[in-house]
Amino acid sequence: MRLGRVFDDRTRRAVTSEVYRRSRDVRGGVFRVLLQIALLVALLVLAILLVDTVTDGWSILSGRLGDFLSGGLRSQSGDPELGVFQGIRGSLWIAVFVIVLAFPLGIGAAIYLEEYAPKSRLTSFIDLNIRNLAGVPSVVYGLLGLAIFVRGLEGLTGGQSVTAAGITLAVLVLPIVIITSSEAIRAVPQSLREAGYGAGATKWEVIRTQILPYAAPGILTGTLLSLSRAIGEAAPLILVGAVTGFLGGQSGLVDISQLQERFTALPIIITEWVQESGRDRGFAPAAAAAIVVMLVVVLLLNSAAIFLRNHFEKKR
Amino acid sequence: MTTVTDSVEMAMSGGGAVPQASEAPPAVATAAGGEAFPPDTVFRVEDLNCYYGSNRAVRDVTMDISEREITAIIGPSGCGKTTVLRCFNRMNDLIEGARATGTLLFRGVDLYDPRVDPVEVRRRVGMVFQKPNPFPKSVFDNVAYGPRIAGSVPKSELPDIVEASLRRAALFEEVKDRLKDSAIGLSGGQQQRLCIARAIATNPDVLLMDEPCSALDPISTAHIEELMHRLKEEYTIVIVTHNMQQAARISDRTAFFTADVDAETNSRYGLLVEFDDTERIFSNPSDERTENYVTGRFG
Amino acid sequence: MTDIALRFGGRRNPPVAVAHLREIPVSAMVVLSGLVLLLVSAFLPWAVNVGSGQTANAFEPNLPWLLGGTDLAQQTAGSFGNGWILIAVVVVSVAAGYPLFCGRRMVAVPLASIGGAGAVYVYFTSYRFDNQFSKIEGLVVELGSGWWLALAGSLLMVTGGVIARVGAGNRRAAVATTGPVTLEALSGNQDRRDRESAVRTIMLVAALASILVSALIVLALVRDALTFMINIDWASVWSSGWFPRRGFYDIKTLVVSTGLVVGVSTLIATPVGLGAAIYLSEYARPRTRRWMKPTLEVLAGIPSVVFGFFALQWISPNIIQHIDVWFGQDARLGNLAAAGVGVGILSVPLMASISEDAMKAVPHSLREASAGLGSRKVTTTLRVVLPAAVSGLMAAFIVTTARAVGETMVVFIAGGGGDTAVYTHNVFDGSLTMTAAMASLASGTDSVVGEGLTFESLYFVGLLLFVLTLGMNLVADRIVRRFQNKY
Ligand SMILES: Nc1ncnc2c1ncn2[C@@H]1O[C@H](COP(=O)(O)OP(=O)(O)OP(=O)(O)O)[C@@H](O)[C@H]1O
Ligand SMILES: [Mg+2]
Repeated sequence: MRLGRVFDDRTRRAVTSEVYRRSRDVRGGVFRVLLQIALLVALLVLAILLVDTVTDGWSILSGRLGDFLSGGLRSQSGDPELGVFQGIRGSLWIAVFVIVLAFPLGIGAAIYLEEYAPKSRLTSFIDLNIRNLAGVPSVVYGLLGLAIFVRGLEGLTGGQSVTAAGITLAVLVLPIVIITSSEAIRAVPQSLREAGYGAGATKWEVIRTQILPYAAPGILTGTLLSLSRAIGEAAPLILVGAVTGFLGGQSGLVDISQLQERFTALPIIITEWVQESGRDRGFAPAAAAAIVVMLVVVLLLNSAAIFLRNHFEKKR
Repeated sequence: MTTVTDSVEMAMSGGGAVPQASEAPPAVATAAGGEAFPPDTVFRVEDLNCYYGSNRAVRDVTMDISEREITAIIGPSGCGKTTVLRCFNRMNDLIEGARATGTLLFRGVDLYDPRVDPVEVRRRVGMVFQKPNPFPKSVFDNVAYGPRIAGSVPKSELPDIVEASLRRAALFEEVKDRLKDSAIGLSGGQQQRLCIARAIATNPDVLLMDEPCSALDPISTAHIEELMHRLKEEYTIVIVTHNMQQAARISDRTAFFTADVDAETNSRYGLLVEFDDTERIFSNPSDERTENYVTGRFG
Repeated sequence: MTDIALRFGGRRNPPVAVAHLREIPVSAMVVLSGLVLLLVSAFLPWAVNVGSGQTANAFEPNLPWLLGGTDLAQQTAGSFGNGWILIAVVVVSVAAGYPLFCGRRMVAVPLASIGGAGAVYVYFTSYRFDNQFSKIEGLVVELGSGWWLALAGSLLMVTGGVIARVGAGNRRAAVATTGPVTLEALSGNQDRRDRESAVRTIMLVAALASILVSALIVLALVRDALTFMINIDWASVWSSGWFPRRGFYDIKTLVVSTGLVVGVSTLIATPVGLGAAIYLSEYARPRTRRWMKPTLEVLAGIPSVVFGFFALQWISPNIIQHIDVWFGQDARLGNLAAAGVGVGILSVPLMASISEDAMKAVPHSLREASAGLGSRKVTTTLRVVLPAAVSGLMAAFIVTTARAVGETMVVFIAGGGGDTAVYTHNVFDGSLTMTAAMASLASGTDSVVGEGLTFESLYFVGLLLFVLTLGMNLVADRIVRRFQNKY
């Protein structure tokens, strides 16, 4: 398929270039340049964005990175203890919730839809439902979190806590996990399933020993992408009540007793500082530095996912 | 009736794991109708109809498959050979909308009885597919797969079982140094023999093969044919093949299927034309359609 | 027993615990775990309290607390009925757990219905707790840890049960494939069937979770949005601006500024995204594609707060505040135009990837046919490929628009709206979109207070947004389905 495409392209290019030689194709040239400009704009914006952010935050990143990573929320940008530690802790716990809740549920749902589900109304309804859930704006998930996890299940989550936030974001990425895992499972060749069944395996044994191992890279790609999405998501957290002003309590990174208390997260800190920068210009570099910290994590996850996918796609 | 109760009791008290039980001769069970089931018949097919959705793909097949023989199924493309073969180990259950009616007795037990667990059937009726489909695992894990999931053998015996199966599949000498390597690295012919080894590792009663040589070169094909000759000593083999020389060379009995078009519904269906000793099918068939086919005048 | 011993292959006895666990009737196990859950959560807060040596609020174990009836319950949970929720959880978990073990739907379905009805009842009868942040802190933690331990305990119970049954089932499933063929031998065994149906049920429950999520979303939105719609003076919904804390909820302010942002974003995302997609699908060499696509994916992976920062700190001063004079305007730093551009950039990868998929779905033969007639590449692209892919491109456009409508952070940060907004239809003004209004309502102060329906207005706007985006996505989905079937 791939080889065929390359060959076609080359042949066609050879043919068309012959055709083009006869008369200069001005219209085609202009069109092509326009397209290239479109693509260039997208890439240029990406470059400006990255460069601008890094230069804005450079004074902090180069000057006091250690303090910045271990510091907390402060009301003055000049405060030497200003930093993102609490945000990192919050984001970390959110990631844990996503991993613990959304991954098993999402993969389980994908397995059901691809391997077990009969062609029925219920199945197509679940299918449609998941596709639409993926398109629901993230603020709406924030409202869900506020109504159910913050207010409804307050006894369980402790109200506006990192638990409520974590569950909310797990719910938010659930459809993404399901969709990507389904795709990965669908890509498992039918012959592998038949071989398993033919050897006398039950459905679950075939899933466990053949399908999941084969689909693992694809599933991993999807889960990594959804994890990075969860880490970068801010809107639902605002609704769920992430702290923006000042957050007391400097406990360790993995202190479980924090789970039911108020929290903040990296994207929230960024939002807060960007907005504060109107009042106190010093917050702008701090926000930029926090963005760099977050982007490092998010982009690492993303590139790992993209790399994994391309790597295994090529191998098969 | 006493025989039935006996065998029931044996199965209940000992399962299959009791050594004495496995050495006992196959029990004589009774067919649905009540008459005794001949001990050397493995499958008895009566008026088997296969459907995909509402489409009746195969009509009214009746045939007996005997123990320790190679039965070949031949016929033009689309006449339902694969469909019928996959009824024997209920692989068709995996296709949504596929179902079968009629009688299919496996040593006297109705395979389509609601109480029958298809997984159990597939452990006793192994299958080899048209395209070699080894698992993307090591050679050893491929062969050990069946025994492992069946859970019937202790871990310590696995190497022996793997070796024995590979030997019986005439592959051991070629792969004995690469047991831990991925099976994907084997040649096509080796892969297919590995699939045979995998199928016989669970010690099945019957081997079903769906055009096992169609993806192989002549030398690998010869290998596999030779192998089948030896396997015949221990297993009952049903093979679907497009290669008429192959059917003539290796099989004891041959079933010729063909496709026809229903005049009313205008749908194509497959049917069994003739089922007889291979020699007769190829030298002196009683049906004209068979003769046309085997002499190459049709299909 | 003998046959178990035999099947364990030489080992005389199975692990005793496993054997005995198997003897417990499944239903008893589930009921038992429910009881344990109840007990643990009733006594644990107290135990933790005593254990930690705290004396604050002599918290005594009392089961009525579970039912949310005592003074203490009022004090701690604000008569919220925590106990009811707990019971609902137990009922639901029993309902979910039962079929998990034995796959008997006739029992499980009624149970699940009762559990579900109970949960819904609890949900709708619980009312807003006005004083939710002034609780005695220690108790909240204790209460919470009780919950946690109870949950962990019941999880352990369930896991243990599953292991006991599934693990043992696996052993017992060991049946040699030799031996006489009888109906009994071919019937497999009950343990394995149990395990298979348990696994299937687990997966089904996971799949149903997505439906639960949708139901919860609707439930969460509808209840408070209804309160708003019933109690609101509709004149305040069509007034001069969005001042939620003073009782003015002018929806048109929000809708118009949303429209402005989406309009600007479309102006950016459609040409750039479509152009990139056409280039990637029709023109780019494989080598170019190989690094171009991942780069676009990186762009897609950047969180939206970053675009908010970028829009406010770079786009606004460097672009918007320069071009505003062309229109005779003087934009402040935060304005809708900057936010729109930010949202547009953010939407480019989405637009590009869906459009590219749509064009890739156009069969090669069409392009070749056109080229064979002597058309130029540009003609082929514009006259053949784009028309053939038009429904997919429509879908891409709609999905991107829906995404822009729902985008929050960029607008919240760079849109120039404060807590309130006056009606405007000028892109160079700052204002609040629907999403930004929600975010600003919820942020800043700890709880949303103000005029009676301020809090509920949040849900009203949320519902509006949800319905709008859902509608768009449904339409896009329809279109995609249709064009998938075309080729
Ligand atoms: N999964 C399926 N769904 C619907 N119809 C099917 C399916 N598999 C096979 N059929 C139909 O059943 C008929 C018999 O197919 P089958 O595969 O058994 O033929 P065959 O004899 O094995 O052909 P070949 O020699 O090409 O392998 C064909 O008409 C085919 O279209
Ligand atoms: Mg076939």
